[in-house]
Amino acid sequence: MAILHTINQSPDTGNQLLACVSRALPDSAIILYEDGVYAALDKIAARPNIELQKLDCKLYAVRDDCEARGLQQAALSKMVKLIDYPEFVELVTQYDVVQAWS
Amino acid sequence: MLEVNGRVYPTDEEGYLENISDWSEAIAEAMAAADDIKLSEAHWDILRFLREYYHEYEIAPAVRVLTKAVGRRLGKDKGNSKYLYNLFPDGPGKQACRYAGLPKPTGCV
Amino acid sequence: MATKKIMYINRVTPHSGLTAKESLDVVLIGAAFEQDVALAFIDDGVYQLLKDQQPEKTGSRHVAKSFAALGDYDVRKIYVEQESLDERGLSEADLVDLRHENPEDDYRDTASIRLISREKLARLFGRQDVLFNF
Repeated sequence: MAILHTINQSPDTGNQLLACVSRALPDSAIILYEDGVYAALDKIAARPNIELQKLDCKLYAVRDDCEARGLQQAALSKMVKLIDYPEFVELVTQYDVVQAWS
Repeated sequence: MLEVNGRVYPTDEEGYLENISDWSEAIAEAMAAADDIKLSEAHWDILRFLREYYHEYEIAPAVRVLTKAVGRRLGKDKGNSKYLYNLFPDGPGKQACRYAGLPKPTGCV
Repeated sequence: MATKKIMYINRVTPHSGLTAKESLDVVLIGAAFEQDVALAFIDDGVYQLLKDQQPEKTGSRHVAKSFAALGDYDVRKIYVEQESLDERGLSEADLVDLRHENPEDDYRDTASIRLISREKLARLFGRQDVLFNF
C-alpha cells in the first residue's frame, strides 16, 4: 500500500514534517504545498532533524505555492520536483491512500 | 449600495465600494454629485494618485500619510491639509478614498 | 498622550490565514497615534519580507507590497533577526528594500531594515514599553 503524504505547514510552525519524514517509506511520496513548501528550501531540507536527502521516497512541491511565497528555484533542494495542482491531483489518484498531515 | 447608470454596486455601510474592480469615473462622479461636488481636474489628480497608491501598496492611506505622499509626488503646493480639505471637505482621507473606490483608510482616526 | 516605545514582533509566515495582514493593519493604525514604533521579524516571520512574492498565484494579499508604505507611516525601524535568516539559508539580498526619509539626516532616503543578532534583539525587547506578538 503506497502512501502519499501531504504537508501544508512550515516546519517551524508545527511538526507535520517531522511526523512525516520519520514514517515515510521507500514507496511513499511527499507533497509539500501551501506553507509546506518552505521545507523545500535547501537549507531547511538539509537540517539534521529533517534531512530530506536521506529519504528514499519521491518529493514534490507545488510550484505556484513556491512562487507565491517568493521562493526562488535556485534556493530549493535538488531532491524536490516542482509540480502544479493538476499533477497533485494526478498523484493522489496514483497512490493507495493519502495521509494529509494536520 | 450605489446605483449608477442603471447598475447597482455593493458598498459597505459608509458608502465605500465593496469591490475595487467595480470602480469607474462615472461612479466617482455619482458619489461626488451626491455630496454636491463637481469633480475638477484637481480632484482627479488626487483620485488618480490614490488609485496608483493603492495599486502599489494595497493600502488606502490615512490623511496624514496622504498629505505627505501627495507632497512628495505632486508637489508641496498640493501636499498640505488646506489644499486637500478644500477639495474634499469631509476629510481628504475618507472622502477621496471613497470616490477613488478604495476601502476606508487604514489608520484614519 | 505620552509616546510609548512599541515593538510588534512578527513570527508567522505571510500567507497562512490572516495574521500577517492583521498585524500590518494594527501597525498602521498604531502609527497614526504617533508612537515610537518598531517592527521585528523573527523565525518564520522573516518569510514575510521575501521579495518577488507573487501571492496572486494563490489568491492571497500582498503583504510585502504594503510594507513598502511603512515609511509613509513614519515606521522607520524594522529589525530582522540574523539567525532566523541564516537558519533558512536567506540573506538581506533576498528581502524587500524598505526605505524611509530620515528626519534626523535631512530627510535623506534611508534603508529601514536593520539586521540584528538574536541576543541583541532579545535585549532590545527589554527596552520597549509594550511588545505585541503576531
